[in-house]
Amino acid sequence: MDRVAIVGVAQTKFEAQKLDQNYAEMVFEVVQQLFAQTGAQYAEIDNIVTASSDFWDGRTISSMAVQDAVGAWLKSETKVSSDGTLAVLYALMRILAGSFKTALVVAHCKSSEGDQKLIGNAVFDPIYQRQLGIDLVTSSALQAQAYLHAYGLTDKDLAEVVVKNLGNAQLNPHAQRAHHLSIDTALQAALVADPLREFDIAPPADGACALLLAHESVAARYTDKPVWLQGVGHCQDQYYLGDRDLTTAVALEKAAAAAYKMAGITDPRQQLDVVELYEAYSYQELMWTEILGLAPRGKGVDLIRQGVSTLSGTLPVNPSGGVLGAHAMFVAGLVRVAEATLQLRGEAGRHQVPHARRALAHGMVGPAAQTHCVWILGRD
Amino acid sequence: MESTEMESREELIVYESSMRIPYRWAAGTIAARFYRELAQQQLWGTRCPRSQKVLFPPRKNCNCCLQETTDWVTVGPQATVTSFTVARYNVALLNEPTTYALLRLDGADTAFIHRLKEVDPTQLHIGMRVTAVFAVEPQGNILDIDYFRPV
Repeated sequence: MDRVAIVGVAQTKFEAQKLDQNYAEMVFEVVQQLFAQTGAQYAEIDNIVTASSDFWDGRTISSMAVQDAVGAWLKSETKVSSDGTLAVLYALMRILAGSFKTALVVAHCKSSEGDQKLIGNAVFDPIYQRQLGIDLVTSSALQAQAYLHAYGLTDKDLAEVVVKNLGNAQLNPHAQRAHHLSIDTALQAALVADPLREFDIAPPADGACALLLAHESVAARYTDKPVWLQGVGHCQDQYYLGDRDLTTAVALEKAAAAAYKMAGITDPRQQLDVVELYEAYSYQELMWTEILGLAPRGKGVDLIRQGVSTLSGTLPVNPSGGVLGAHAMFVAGLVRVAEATLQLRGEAGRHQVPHARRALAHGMVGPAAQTHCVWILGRD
Repeated sequence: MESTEMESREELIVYESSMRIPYRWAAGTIAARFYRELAQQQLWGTRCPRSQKVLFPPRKNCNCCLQETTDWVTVGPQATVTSFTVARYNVALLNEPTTYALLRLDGADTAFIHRLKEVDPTQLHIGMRVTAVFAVEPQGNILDIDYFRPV
């Protein structure tokens, strides 16, 4: 198979409310930053994949409002109404199909502009579920409770993720929420939906992220530090929460197996140097690390307690602070890919993991993480 | 410099608006029958002839093998809590703090989401037995089961 690399990444600072930019201006900022960094010209990028949500933007066909900003005038722009990790997959397919040599991938969201409860409620089907007022937070809380119960874990275990990730976020200039907390102070936060407290829930953010992908034949034109897409897997589970086993995520298990196989990974704990996960809620980092084969089931928290997944550990997880540091819907997964890329390029700044050569970046979407996408990225 | 910046921020506006779009969603034949029976305080699921799985709420086709579900089976009204959460904020549409549970009705193989009332939050647990309380005036929606309460 032909090889494709990430040759540039750009992201805005994530903020609770960006008053001075409308969302097209926010997108323009990251695209300009990316073009300045790679020396790419608008004229030569003819394959553009965007990720955004009509509901979050409050209009139909949300990509229409950013088509100028991404330079798609008189070109081929196409949209994924799902997480940015899936937009990368779509962009890769369009390059591998032989139609294009490059792809611009851009995701945006302004969480501040819509009612998060009502939009989250609209995820659920109107015939059997929506009228109950359930939303993304409460449905994830149901998963958190089922997971904690299955493995005899408590909110103290969740607080370990909060303390680590919000601590890491202090070193990430793009993060929106960052705190130096103790386990005790994390546990003093108000309960929002048991067992989830305020800090366990990622803060809705405004922001955008962009990547430039290039076929191996042209990658050197844009960077001397390409990051290669070595493996990918994508899978989704049942839509209705009651049809799934919420104590696990079979879709992630399958997505990871596919990505590992493609990248030749047989021992992820040894072969990966850094991991960026989409943990919209603290419990998800514990579940995802276990399902990815980095820890035995129910023991994900030991990775933190034993210092394995901390910033100075042998396998740092979410050195950026993860999604608990900023949650722009559909953007957050693309940011995981961008952060993994920065790590592999040695450009992550104060949250840099030393000598990272291979990284895992993960995206998810849907109520209680219905859909997962796993990327393996490498220097080689 | 600082005052200029402040003035320019004061000039920023946020355009306040909203969208209210009525929809008329066809429920399909299965959900229509389900709601007609629910109005009579009867709970029905559908059974997959291949996997023998009883789906609740009922679906026209099995969620796993896609086989058309042919048999209607009565389920509940008692159920077992398979997960729960207490939303401490006013949730969408209901506009009040709400206790949610994933419930497996007796006789069903899938769980579904509903709300609990008349329950002491400290007594909530997975495995808890609850029973359906039906709405006095059914409207043809999922709140025709008003809520579930401990048995």
